[in-house]
Amino acid sequence: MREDIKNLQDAVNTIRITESMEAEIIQKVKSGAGKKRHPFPRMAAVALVILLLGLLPVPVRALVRSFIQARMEEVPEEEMASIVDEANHSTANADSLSRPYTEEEKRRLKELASLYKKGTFPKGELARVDSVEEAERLGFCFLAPSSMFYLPDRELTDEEMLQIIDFHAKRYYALEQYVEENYGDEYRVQSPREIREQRKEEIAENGGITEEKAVAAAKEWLLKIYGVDGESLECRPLLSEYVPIAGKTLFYRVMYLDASGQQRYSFFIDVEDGGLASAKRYAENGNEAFTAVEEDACLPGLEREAASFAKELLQMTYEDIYAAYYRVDEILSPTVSFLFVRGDGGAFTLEYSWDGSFVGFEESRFSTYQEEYEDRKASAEWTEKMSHGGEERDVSFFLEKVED
Amino acid sequence: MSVEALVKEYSNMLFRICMVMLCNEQDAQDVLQDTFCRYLERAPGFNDKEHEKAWLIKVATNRCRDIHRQRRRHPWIDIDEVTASCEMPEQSEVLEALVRLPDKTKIVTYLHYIEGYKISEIAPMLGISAQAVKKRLQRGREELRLRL
Repeated sequence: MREDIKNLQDAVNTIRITESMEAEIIQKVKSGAGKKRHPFPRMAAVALVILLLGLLPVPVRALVRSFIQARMEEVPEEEMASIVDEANHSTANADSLSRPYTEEEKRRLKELASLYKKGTFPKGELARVDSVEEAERLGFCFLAPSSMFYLPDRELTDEEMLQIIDFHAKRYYALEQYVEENYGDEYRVQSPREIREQRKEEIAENGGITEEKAVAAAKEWLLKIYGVDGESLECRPLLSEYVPIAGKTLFYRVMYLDASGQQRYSFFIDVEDGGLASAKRYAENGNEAFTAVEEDACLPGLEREAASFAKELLQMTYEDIYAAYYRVDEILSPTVSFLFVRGDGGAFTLEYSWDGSFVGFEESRFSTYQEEYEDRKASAEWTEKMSHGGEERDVSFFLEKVED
Repeated sequence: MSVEALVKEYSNMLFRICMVMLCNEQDAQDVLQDTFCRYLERAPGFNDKEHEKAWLIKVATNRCRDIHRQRRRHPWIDIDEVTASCEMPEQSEVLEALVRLPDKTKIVTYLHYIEGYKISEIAPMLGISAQAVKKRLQRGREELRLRL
């Protein structure tokens, strides 16, 4: 965990404001431009339409053949060039509206965007003008120099809304084409997401499992270990390359979350053979604190449960079992870990909350169970310290061999 | 303090918070502008620099929360916008884990582990009890372990 915090601090430090943004902020604050002229945030106003169309952040080359693409390909090149020219010469950083959309307009825009994707297009086109006078005369148009949509004071008609949607689609397409044609690969710096997707392809090509297989494996373990059907949960798979478990670092991490986000399950699946490396359950409320008296009553039952789980469900072999937990001010640690020691000295752990609920399984990344225990001790001390405002806590640790 | 000095002193720190909270440069810039404008219009007298910094963080995080409320139906975030600057993949992974935390947990986690504020300092900054800060920090630790 400490190394993660260091990585986090280093990562956050890479986020820096640019000098140009700083200068712009200074200029706008001085001129009082920081006060919003429009109560409706500018990006949200435009993003609404673009999101409805599902256009962003899909790059052009990834666009599936669609009614929209067919329409865009019919737009004359001169018009596309004119759109790009306007965007490049606009003084505004982003579009704005002369007034916010009403709730009814937002609802209707969503419906019309859906129809637009299926081939319902406007009869006319949104007028593009270069002067404020012309914009005010027309009442409904796009003022190119300042990238402002002039909207009438009344509700927009369906035709007008379709024209707005059509305008956004054309402009987005024109700009993407322009960038692709003029900058090609020079512009296209791979994002971390693209790097991960490429990595997944490489893994599958080299004999590893696919993300789909990892998800299927995790879903089986979710049912087997926790008795939960993954169909009703949100699934979030991710390629994980830097978390060390049992000497390896390349896994598919598959998380399942319930609708409230309170109950979560995490699985690390080995990309080489699809095996389970770690399973964990997290609950919002955590575990209830038990006193030492209750610990004596709970431990034997948990030991039997853990041994049965390891042998029958995970089908693991081992030679010894140790129970590891700690106490602070007579309050027990939230969970107890059972360290299963193999013949070669390596270990895996099963973690239980004191009420008998299974929390997780993990292959140890250390070569001996003693190192695993020391790491858990250090982590617990730090956790207790940080959860008490940085004060050192008097923590008593227990490592007890479980007798057969 | 002049506008230039104010912006140069605090913009980087506030920009980081806003980018982690909003994952969007344009929105982050808007929040910074709003925050500095409010400073010029309504800032109280400050006991010291730390007091001033805490006030700015409070205003900026409140503004981030306002934008989230407006965005709720139409989320407009791109995690890549935040992680793109990371030089090392493990940094990108852990930063993504932070950014994906729920907002209430995220800001507490950020202020404690990145800015180094104590629980007793975070509580008045966010207008919540110390107990609530502790609970959100614990969740943040649990969830970061989960996502990593």
